[in-house]
Amino acid sequence: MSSIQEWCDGAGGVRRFGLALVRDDRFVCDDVCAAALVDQLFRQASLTLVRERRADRRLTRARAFAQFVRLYRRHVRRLAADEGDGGWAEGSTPPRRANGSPTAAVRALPLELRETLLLVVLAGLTHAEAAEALDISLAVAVRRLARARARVAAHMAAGSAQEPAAWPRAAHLRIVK
Amino acid sequence: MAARRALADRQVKRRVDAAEVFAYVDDCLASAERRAFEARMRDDPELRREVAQWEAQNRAIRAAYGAPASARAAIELGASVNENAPAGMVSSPPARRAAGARPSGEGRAKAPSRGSAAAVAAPARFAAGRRVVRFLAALAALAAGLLIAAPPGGPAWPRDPLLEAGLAAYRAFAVSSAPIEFAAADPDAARRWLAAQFAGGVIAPQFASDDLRLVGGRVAPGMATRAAFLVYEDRLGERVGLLIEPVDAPPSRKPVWREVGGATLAAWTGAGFGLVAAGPRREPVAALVRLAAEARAPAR
Repeated sequence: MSSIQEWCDGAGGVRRFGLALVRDDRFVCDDVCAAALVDQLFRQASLTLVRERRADRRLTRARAFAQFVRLYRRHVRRLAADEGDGGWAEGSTPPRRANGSPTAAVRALPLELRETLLLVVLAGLTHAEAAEALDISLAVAVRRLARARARVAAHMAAGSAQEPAAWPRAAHLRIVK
Repeated sequence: MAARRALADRQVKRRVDAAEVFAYVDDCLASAERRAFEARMRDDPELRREVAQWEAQNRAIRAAYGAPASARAAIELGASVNENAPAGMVSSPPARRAAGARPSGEGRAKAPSRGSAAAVAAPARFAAGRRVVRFLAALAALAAGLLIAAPPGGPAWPRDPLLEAGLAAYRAFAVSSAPIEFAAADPDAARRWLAAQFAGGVIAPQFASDDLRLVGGRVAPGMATRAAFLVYEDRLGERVGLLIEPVDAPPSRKPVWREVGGATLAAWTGAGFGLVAAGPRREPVAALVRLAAEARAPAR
């Protein structure tokens, strides 16, 4: 991306990515709150990018997404600090009930894995761009991607396995011919 | 020891394989690598199954969030292609994928060999030389233009970008000889014209007052996007201008006064707009500030 205009044109993609990222069922539990937070972060990111552009810094798509991710991480850190909970990153996510849907599986991911997966799958960044956006090495980005994919697959499989398992519990139902 | 090394080798190989599979699934391979991977896939059903699994997961996630099937293609189209263009004018993502097109420069075409490099070097050098000459000529023309328009020791420019935009608009469009884009004989028509230029709406100040009379207006460059620029005349026939730029959630700021190069400027922000009033003297500019302050509710 070479200009602010293109960032604005790609705003739909950034918003979609943002809505998927911020909806974690922990700090943000409904779509209205998610939309409000994304709007706020998007404005902040836009203003920062305008300033950076004025300072003649090269503006890439990865930088634009990186700015959004950075602002969101800061937001989450603040919320976690308010709750007296330092563990906002990987390994601290409480286990959630699997229901087999991709959105539930993505929401169940820890932030580090969720942002990597969404940058690649939803935002369409290459692995190298995602690594640049997250300020990590390419190898780490690929490892996170692998872990995220494995967890999503396991979550979806567990959810779909639970549905048929619910039938035998309905012992009061009988087949009537 | 050997068994441990073999285990480590297998783990490294598995990791590399997974990275390659992900790179293929996420469309991160260069065209040659992609072809090689597809050739490998033809002979390896396990690899095919793994690729199909991750592709299905990608599709499921994109569908769940309402994203197009190929997220990267959508961003490219949104970024650089006119959305109103007929569908036939835009190459489809599968077509580009088949052609091996890479958006991020990872999969560029292979570098030419030494012989072919020599063959293309001379015209390339010639073209580069012409570009340099053209650039220097443009630079000289720009310098000459600047010297004519603003001789050394001329008026300074304010550092505030909003003030700068207001001053530029005032100097360019509020002088007596500047053409007015729309006539202000009918204030309602002017207001409608102005509203049509800005999808988000603009502040519509009162168009007539005891001190000032609206002459007209136009669209002018703002500090980050386009802005409305209204030109008024005071009782002495001197022109003052008001730049109104939609700004994303600015803090409310009282007017900041500056005098730059014989122009008096007042800039302030609030209610989603950045405003600059500019004129030759303080009195008409103050009247304009009052006029704009009365129109707090934007006509959205």
